[in-house]
Amino acid sequence: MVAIALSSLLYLRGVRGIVGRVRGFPTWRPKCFAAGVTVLFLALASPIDSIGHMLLWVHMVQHWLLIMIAAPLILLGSPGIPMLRGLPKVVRRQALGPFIASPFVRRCLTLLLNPFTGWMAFALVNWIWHYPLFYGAALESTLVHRFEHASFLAGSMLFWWQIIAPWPWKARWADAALVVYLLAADVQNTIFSAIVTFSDSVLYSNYLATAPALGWDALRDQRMAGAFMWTAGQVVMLPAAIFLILRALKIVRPKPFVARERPATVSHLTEPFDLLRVAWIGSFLRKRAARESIRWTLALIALILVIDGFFGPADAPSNMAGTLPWTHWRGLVVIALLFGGNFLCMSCPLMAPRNLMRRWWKPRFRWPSALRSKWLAVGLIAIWLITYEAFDLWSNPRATAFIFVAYFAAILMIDGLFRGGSFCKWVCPIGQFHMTQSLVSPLSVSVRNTALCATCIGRECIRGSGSGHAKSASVSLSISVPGCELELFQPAKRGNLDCTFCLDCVDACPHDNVGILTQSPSVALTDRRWGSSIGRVASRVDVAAMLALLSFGAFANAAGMTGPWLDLVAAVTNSFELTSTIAIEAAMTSVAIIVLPVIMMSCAALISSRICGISLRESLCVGAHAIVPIGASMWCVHWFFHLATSASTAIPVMQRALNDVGLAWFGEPEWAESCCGPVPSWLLPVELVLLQLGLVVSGWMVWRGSAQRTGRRAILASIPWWTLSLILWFVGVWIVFQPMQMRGTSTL
Amino acid sequence: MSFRASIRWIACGLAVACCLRTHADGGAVVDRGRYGVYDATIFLSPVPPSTGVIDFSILLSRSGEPQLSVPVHVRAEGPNGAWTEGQMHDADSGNHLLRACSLTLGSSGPWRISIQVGENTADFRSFEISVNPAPPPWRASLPWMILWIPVALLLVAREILVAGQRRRRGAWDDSNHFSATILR
Repeated sequence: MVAIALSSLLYLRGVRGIVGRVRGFPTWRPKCFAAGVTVLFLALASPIDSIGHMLLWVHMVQHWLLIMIAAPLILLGSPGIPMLRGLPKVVRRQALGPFIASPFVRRCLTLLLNPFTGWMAFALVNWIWHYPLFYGAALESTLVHRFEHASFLAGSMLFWWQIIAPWPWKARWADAALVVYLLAADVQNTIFSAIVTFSDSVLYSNYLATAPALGWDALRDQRMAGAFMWTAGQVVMLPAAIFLILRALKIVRPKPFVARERPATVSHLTEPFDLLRVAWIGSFLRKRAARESIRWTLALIALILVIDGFFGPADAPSNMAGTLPWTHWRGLVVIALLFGGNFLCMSCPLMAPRNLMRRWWKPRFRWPSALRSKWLAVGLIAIWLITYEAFDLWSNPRATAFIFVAYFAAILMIDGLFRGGSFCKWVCPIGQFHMTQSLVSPLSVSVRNTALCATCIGRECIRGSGSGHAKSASVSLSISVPGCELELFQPAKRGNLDCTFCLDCVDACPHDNVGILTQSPSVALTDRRWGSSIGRVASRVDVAAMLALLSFGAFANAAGMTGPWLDLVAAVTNSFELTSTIAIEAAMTSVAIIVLPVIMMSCAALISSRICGISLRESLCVGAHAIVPIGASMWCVHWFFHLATSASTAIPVMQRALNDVGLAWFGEPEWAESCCGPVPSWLLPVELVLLQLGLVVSGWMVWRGSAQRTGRRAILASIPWWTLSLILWFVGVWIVFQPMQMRGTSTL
Repeated sequence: MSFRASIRWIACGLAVACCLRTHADGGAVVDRGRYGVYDATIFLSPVPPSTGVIDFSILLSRSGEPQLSVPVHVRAEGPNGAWTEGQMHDADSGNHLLRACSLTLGSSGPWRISIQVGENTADFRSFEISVNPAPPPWRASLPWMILWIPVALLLVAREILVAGQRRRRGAWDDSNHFSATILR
């Protein structure tokens, strides 16, 4: 189902601009593709599939639909080029380009698309899978059954490829030869069908039990299946052969092609996606007032959480402060980061009162030079991770509410004293988390046309615009539009680091040249160019320390909720005869996020630098940047797990809060919902795929980073970091198989 | 046909197909015979059975007509006196012709399964299945854990190809290829 949907989407995306405009791609091709996809879906996911387990002749109908109807229809849709065009540009050019341009791959394709190969594939698949041993195996195992269907589809596509020759490929044989090719296939189908039809014994013993249950004698069912294959195969093959004969005799000629228009330059294939140019969403995000309204809405929600945290029940699953921030907000964070960008900082509730304060109170000081690094944030992140585990913040609504209040106080104090976005850039640990993880996000605030920036003399994106600009006529000329408060000059901005997606630069740019564009996820991690306000981030040790801390923190944070970790904490606490686990949890978390990373990363960096002769610092920076994707995947797995299993916990706490203020609109709290639901069966595969995605991207980043610095010795330089990535991946896989402490849920 | 029309075609096709969608329960036939006036075929999944949740499905017919409203009771008696039982429901089955229930068989060894069809307690049959110890949970997810290996191999192959193309032309340049024209 997923594969069919994905293929259809790629086809639809790629077919724009060529259908009806290119010779060889008339308008009937998309219709054929649509029909083929529908037949494929009917064959694989309809009652035919269920009944095919019980009646042989129904199973043969399924195979016939696959090989005689779906395959040729899909090929008539010429899916090759449209699906290639439908892929993202970076995949099309960077990932597939070298393969398609490779002479070796072309030779392999030539061999695969040879008529002999096609005919043999078709016949072998037919005979092998209908051999009783393999047929029985397919009936008893879903996995083997799926493989059987995949091989049927692949074999028949190779066969029909020669006859249909989907655009832009040309048929290798003349029509007359193809008639022989087709009739030879028909003969082998006839022989096979005759064997099945005239056999005196039941060939497939599985049906001995199931066919009578549906009122069929197994042998009669088998004869029906053979007869169907015999006739239905010829119903398709003979007309195809007649068509080929008519074409060979030039009785049937292709219609002359009349293009509707010239081939179009399709902007969605050549230009990057720009969220700000999407209808509704783009125009909403561009409005300063709209962004501010999101912040105020979230600030209001934060206020409600604080009130409920302080004055509501102390039990976390019964309190909004015990569930919404830890289960729902964090789950939404990872979804936004995975599919979008740093929209969490854009909608930060702390910014609402801070911006209000700045209307009347102008800070006078500049952030001290000594603190202009990430070391302060590194310390705060470490404290945050340790206190979270040691004091079980997730189970304490009072503590959660106190953190909210402390956060609001901190931003008002720091941004009240210091100019610019000092709190966001140098202090906020949550902001650093968002900005770091958004390095692997697909969207980034960046310039649309760099050449235009070269002619800009105002540099409003960083200086701000004092008089509004032409594109936003609604903006009063007297309103000052600030530039980037985090000192990022757009043309020299690299990735999402330090970018809060506030979109002030979008407002300020007089040329309307800043958008939210797609970026190659993770590519900023190996960008060695100088970046505005952040310097050469690939060589900064403070940034490397922050990245490593957050990456290892992902695993420590997730491991902290597993059964073995909790057992270990209890065992160590008992062995020291302590009454509280706070000290032990703090110590163990410190080891996991500070001691272990220092030891493991130092060893990897030392080995890598010794082997390849690069400095220890360079090697450390390569590794710290490279493990960000695997760390991000672990954060996603962990927080998405909570969201997927405990999403319903929001219902009773909100009902309870409304009842507490006398609003019984939604009835009494349904406390049964506050207990975590069963783990959906799809969750584990999704978690494993996410972890592997992180591993592959991390491995790729290691390679790129090492290749930039060491050239030919990149493989040797990469091995220690690949090993470290693999270790982290194994830890992640181990974590997802452990029994979990379901935080923020009751044990009803 | 316009682009919008092709979207409509595919969307309509998938919508129709979705309406018809059901699952096959799969599994192996473990018993077949007459239960009073009914013909019954019992399926079991996973194959081979292992400790944990076992799915029992029944295809019940009378004179070739599927029977979907007759009560079916399943009881499993295992080693050391362990037992569990359940009632088969339509809702548990993905295949609309079957009725199913899931029982948790907690220990490995021989289990005797008794199935009673209808209200008449005489209409029952028993058969024995051998339940294996459950494999470690990661083994069932193994296919989901090795996907990164082919991807990594493809990335390595890409690097080798790019290196070869660089050696031949000095630098990877896709502008000379017909395929690259398509890719752009």
